[in-house]
Amino acid sequence: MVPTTWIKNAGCVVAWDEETNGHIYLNDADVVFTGDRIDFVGKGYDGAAEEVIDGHERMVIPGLISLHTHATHITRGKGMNEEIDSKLMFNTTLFEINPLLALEPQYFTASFECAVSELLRSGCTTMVEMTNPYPEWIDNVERSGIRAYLAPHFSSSRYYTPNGHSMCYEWDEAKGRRQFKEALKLIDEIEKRPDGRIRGMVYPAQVDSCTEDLMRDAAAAARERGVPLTTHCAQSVVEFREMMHRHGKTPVEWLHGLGFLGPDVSLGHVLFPDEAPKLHWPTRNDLPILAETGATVAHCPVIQARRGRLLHSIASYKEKGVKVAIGTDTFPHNMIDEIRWATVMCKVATEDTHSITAADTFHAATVVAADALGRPDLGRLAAGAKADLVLIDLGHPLMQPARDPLRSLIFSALDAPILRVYVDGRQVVEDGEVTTMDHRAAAARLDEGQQRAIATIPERDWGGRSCDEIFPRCLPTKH
Amino acid sequence: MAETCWIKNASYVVAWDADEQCHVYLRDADLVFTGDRIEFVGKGYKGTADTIVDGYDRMVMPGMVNTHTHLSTATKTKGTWEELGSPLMYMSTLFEYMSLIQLPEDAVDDYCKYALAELLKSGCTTVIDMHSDYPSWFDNLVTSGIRAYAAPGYASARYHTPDGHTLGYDWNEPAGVTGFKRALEIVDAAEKHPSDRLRGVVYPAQVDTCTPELLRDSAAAARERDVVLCTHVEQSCHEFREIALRHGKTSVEYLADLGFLGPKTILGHVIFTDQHSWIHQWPGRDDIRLLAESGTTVAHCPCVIMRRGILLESLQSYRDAGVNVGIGTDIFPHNMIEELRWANVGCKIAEGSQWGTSLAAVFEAATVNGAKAFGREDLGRLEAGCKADIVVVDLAHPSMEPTRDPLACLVFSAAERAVRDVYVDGVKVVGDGEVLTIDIEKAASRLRAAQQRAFEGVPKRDWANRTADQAFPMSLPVKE
Repeated sequence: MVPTTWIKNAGCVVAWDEETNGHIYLNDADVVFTGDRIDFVGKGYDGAAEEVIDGHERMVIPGLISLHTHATHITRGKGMNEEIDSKLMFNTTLFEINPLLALEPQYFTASFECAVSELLRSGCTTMVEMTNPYPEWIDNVERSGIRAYLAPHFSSSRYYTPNGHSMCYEWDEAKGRRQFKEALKLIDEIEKRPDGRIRGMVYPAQVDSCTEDLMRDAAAAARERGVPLTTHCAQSVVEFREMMHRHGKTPVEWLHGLGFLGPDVSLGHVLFPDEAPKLHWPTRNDLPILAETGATVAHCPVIQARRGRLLHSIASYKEKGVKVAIGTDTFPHNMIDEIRWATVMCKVATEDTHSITAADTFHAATVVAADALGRPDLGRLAAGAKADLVLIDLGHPLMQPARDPLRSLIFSALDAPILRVYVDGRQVVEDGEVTTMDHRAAAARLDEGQQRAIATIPERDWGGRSCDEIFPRCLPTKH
Repeated sequence: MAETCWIKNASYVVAWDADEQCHVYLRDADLVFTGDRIEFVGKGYKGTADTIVDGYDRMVMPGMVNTHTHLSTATKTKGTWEELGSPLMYMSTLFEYMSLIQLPEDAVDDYCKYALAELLKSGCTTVIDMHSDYPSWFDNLVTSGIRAYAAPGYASARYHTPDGHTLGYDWNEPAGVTGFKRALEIVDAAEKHPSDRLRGVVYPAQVDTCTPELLRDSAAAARERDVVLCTHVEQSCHEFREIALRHGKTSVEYLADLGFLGPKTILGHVIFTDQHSWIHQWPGRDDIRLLAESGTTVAHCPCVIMRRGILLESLQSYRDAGVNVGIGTDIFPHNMIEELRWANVGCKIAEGSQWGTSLAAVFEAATVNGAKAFGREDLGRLEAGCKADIVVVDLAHPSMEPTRDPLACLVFSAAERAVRDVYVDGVKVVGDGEVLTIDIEKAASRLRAAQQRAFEGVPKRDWANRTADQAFPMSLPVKE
């Protein structure tokens, strides 16, 4: 028999309210789940349970969803690329910087475990993970306990630069086709899994690195299977200009023309729709297209802000009918921190503290993301929804005074007061520590992996430069 | 006899390079301190020590200097103010909201201790506390173990708004003068206090709430005593406009003409200068130059202003113009490392470029530039002869890995999570990430009830007699 867990008399529950279609605070309420499903959210549960958790001084919130993550590969750049981009390539790292860092395959698992440990510890229970497939991938996800949409990478070309200022595409359409075929095979295998915790997603990597045919076929394959579809779109000024140069269309217009866009699509970044101030472009078509097609923008504010870039803005996208969800993209893989930055950066972009609230962003990181994945059973605490939930210590010092606990969490405490995290009713975090993986051991191993990857940087760099030349440390080292 | 402590073979030491006048990484180096002073920073210490601390997988860095805080009052607005500003008054909270929540007297100690604990845990070892004085103030500061500059506040006027859009001043000049006299007694007592960690600061509250005479007398009193002088300046668009209407000058020009600026003057915020984009059509561009020429320090508190949608324009451009910029936490969260991240990223946003500033620049702001503001060459750096104000970071903490550039990992990823031990004057005040001098759990547990009591007074202080729930709506609707 599947056991029932009853979080009894929780000080505060962020519950889903069908009437208003929004999250609400319920004080002194119960949350009950059996197996992977929530049975009850409300006051005065009068059933029985195998496990009763005292909810005194506890807040229960729905698990968060990162709609855009590269968990396996991206932490390799920590301590290196926080403060860098290509000065001569309009603020992008895609052509010159990103290809330099290549973890050896034996470190993929450690890197994955670091990122997913951080995600789980910060209350993220579902992630979209976009990566090049590798043999241990599904096992890693399985073991971690996170809910994942696995998006195996394919593309018709690879970014490179021969000189630090020319942006080049090494086209290999046949390879793109091969990768596409393998990706679909993997997705089909994943989709057959009985537990449904791991799902597939079709992911042609970037709008400018795939041929028109591949994009069209990718969309068709996703729709045929009923799985969600994603890509990177309008993520840099150079990409916008490249698409305009190739097709006379903005990246969004081009995708729209291919029939790519729809409510099952999430687009990474969309920082540069035609109306983005930095583009100085005359049209205002992109956001209306996104609104009309129902595509969702996956916004990753921390990495953008570190590069000096703003989305203009979640509030204005929303006002125009465009759905915006949140992703962590890169390290730190901290969903609550990401929510904080998304909120504050919107206020900065609009010069208006009232343009968005933390609750709006919380909604984006739960309900909007769930909807983008076609999952009304995620991102909300309601009977019948998946038991993906986070138990928070309301009495934690950093939450005090906890009058408005969601604000205390987002603006002050972040991950510190998170006690437990459940995915599909299975506990994956206890007392703030991930129980499914050895985070500390993985972190030490990743350090080793990064050092080995650093050694091969000169052979990947157009100028044959060393790591220390390209990525100077923030302070000089004196010997 | 003072004991000697040797942090041996630290994987990284963020050491001060006196020749280059900058912080540098030393690998596998020793840091030795005796009593409150650092004796040795470098490789291959040959002496002896009473205590030896294994430095493997540790980064040792200087304690940070916080140039702007209000310890006892800042946290009272948590859960109310994060997303608040007067929409008809350029997003400022000063006029409509600042006075609404008045803590009961018996709660002040808890709030002060709580903020101090947060600061210590985040590696802040020196703090200025700008506050109205209260009986247990010095005790709170001294027993926490932090290095504190107590700045008792006074003013000739108080802000008020009758309607949420008109800025009014309730003038009471004699109260300002009385407050000033009282403040000087406190400053003198702080300076004479047996703890060398406690000092006094002269603090007329805001440029626009004090008479010119009071500001001038304050500056004279600070200089006579050779203590730091501070106030709030150019923190709102309304203040800029008000000073322009009164005196035909910018706030900074006005202070310059009063003789207020100087190398021991700290000005809080200085956001809305004559060159800020929200101040349109001011004819001059002199504020930054005046600050640079006078050696005045700007205390930049990025976290709180960015929550209101406001940017400093910009930290790096102030620095490039020669202004000494320090960092302050101002209000909650009192986390110096996070504040550095917001300062760094906020500047990049303001400059619209990744290259708009660097971590080295903001770290310098939070250490040696802050120290300079207090006239202290023995703070904010690890160098023989300096105060033993030291932060030890756990490099093996998962949030720090991979640790190729540990300061970058600390600021951009790990923050206070990886702070292990903190020493002030050579005394350990944080051990294993826990504050040893303050019972933070106890202080924290009493904040909510005190805030709740303070809410009762909100309607009578609000121009529209709103309740706390009306004035400060919750982030989600509460369903009963």
